[in-house]
Amino acid sequence: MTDAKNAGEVRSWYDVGQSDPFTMRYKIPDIVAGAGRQVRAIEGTSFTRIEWRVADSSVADALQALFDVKHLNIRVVPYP
Amino acid sequence: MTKYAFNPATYAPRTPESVRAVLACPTLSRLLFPARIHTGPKTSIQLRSAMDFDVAQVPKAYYSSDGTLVNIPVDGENGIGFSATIHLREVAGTRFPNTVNLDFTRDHLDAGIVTLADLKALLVEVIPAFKAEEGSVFDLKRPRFPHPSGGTASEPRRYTMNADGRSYPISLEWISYFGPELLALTGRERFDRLRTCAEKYELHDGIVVILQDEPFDRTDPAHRERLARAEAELGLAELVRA
Repeated sequence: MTDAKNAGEVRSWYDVGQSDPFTMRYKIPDIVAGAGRQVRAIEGTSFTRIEWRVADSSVADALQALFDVKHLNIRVVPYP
Repeated sequence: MTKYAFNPATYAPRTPESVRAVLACPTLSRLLFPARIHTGPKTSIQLRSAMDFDVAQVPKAYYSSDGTLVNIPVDGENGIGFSATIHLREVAGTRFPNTVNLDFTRDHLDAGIVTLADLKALLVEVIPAFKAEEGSVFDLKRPRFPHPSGGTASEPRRYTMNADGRSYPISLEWISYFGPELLALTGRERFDRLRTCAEKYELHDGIVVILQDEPFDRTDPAHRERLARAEAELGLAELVRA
């Protein structure tokens, strides 16, 4: 399953590369919860994996690192 | 600057209150405190030790808006960070692992603030305190490879899955702990074949593999070659499930 995210620039909602209070308080819990809902949604379907596509490569790297430490099997791909 | 994470996880039910037991682990406590929990854009609570951690002081904003999880970040004054993600309820048919992370950098390693002995002690102390089923220490910056999109994408972790749909990372990392639940999937015998590592020993009914003494860097070709050899000896690729 491919999900194109509106994350074309640093400081967008999906930029989790900063450890500022807003990112830690608001963004990370909701991004992780939303990603978990996607993982749950494909269970029992023909989809075998989830791929997020974001325009900015540094945003993609930070999201991938977040999913790696939260053990969420989602691949984040820069898609300029 | 390469960032590293000590990252145990468990499907065992955990509560926000259980985070204090993890924070109280002696080595983690020594590395992290004094620290702060930010309660607002310009406000924070100082924690001198785990005893100062009070779940009631965790801002509501740290809970996801759908109420399924809380992510509790604690920022050490020396730049070492901690976070715990606790799933508050099981969602129909699926469970997600609770995780804790201790984040540090290559600078912390080079300065001797975090040592290999510390990382081994973290496994000894945090695995039982968090009821962790697996855990690893790994570098967060992963090399990029060509992707069909035309660009490059960082190398993702690989996962395997048990019959209950529980997903476990199956990649070998700088330091990897395979607990009994994961060993039930991989089989213990494959670890007898592992020769390419600095240390391999039993801990908490599981197995610890330390790939090398020096900090592992996935962008270093020699380190990657060592990793590939070790993973081939273990035959981990055959276990990967999407």
